[in-house]
Amino acid sequence: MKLFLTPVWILLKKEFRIEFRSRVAINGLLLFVLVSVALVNFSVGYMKLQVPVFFGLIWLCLFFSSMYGLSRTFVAESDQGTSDFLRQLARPSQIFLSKLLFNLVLSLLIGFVLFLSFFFFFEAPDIHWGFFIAGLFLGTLAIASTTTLLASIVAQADSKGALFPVLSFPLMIPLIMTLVTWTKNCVSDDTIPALWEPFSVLIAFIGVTTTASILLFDFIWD
Amino acid sequence: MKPVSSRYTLFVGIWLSMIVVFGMLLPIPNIPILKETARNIYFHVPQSFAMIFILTISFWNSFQYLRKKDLSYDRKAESAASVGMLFGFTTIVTGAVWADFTWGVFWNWDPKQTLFLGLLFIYGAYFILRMSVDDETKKASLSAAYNLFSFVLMPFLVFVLPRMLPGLHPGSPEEGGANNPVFTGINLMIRIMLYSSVIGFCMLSYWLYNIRYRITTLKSKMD
Repeated sequence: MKLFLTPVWILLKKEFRIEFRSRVAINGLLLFVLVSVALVNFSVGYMKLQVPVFFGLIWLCLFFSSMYGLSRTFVAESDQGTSDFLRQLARPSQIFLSKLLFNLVLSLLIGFVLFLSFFFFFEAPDIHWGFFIAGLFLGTLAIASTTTLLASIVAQADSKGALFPVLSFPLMIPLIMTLVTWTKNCVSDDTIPALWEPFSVLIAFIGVTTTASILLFDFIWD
Repeated sequence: MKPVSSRYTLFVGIWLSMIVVFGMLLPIPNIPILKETARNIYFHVPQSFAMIFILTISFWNSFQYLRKKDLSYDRKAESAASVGMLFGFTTIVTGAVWADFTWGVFWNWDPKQTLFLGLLFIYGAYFILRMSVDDETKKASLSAAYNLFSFVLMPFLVFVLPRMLPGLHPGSPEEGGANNPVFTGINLMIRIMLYSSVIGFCMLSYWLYNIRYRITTLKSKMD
């Protein structure tokens, strides 16, 4: 197990080092998040939003921001022609795990910045913070586990264009419905029974996507 | 793949014609809102079953492609997916006509309707992916991976969420259990008609898939 995880750890450190060396990606991403929240604020900020609308807008912004950020890890490898070196260094599943963890950290970052700015710019409803943050964590985990495999597919395609959002959004439709249900239920009083269903759906979703991604990545990476 | 035998096509033709004739003529229980449109259950529901059936074939062929790296499996998966999209489209159209009569408008943003449309988007994305890769083997393995990935997520779209979120379709949580209003009471005749219609539409979809596959094979031979 330790032998398996060492390359994952090394690759993950490499991802962070590259990210912090340029900082272009991360700063661009943060600005993207802030601008999108400001855009939402300019369009509907003058009125008090209903609870489902408020959370729907948050998750929609998160989805679009992650479309901008999460395809980078693999696309950068194929742009710089470094994929072949990676192939020499580690097994496909190790590479995939490191990219998945990196994307998870990135999407958690996006998520927290987005939520903080939403609660800063808008009049937020009263919520159970513990459940809400758990939902945020599960949601970003599900987004990362769904999109990482698709990013590796997009990196191999010839005309990339808008391919990443086109491939990802339809697969995330069940996700956004579940997440909006979750956050909507964080407002009500008897939270726990109402959260059980979206919780089990999210766990199943994350399990299915992660397992299928790790199994399928071998075939894409060859 | 050989063309289906003429006996197969004759059987499908007669079988489906009988479904149409009996579906229109046999008596149907008078349910308040549905009234005579309840007969649509013989056409709308089996078409969605046929779509799942043919997409399962597509899934299986993508799986076989990743195992054996034979391009004919890729063509089979593509043909089956295109037939699946056709049946998804007809399901949505028959459903929309029915929705206009029973729920008032063609599109109600009922979870099942929305998620079914999402399923069509997924297979649309599958074809977009195929267009954006030039190399044949690469195209085959990437689209096979996408097909497998989206097929394992399909149960969430078609089976899990429609039973969780409030909606108008039978089986939604706020309608008092997962009972289909057309099925209330023991109505053996409706069940028999429905299942024979499912068989008929599945056989029709297999026939279309067979034709589609032979066309794509001929095209690839000409290139």
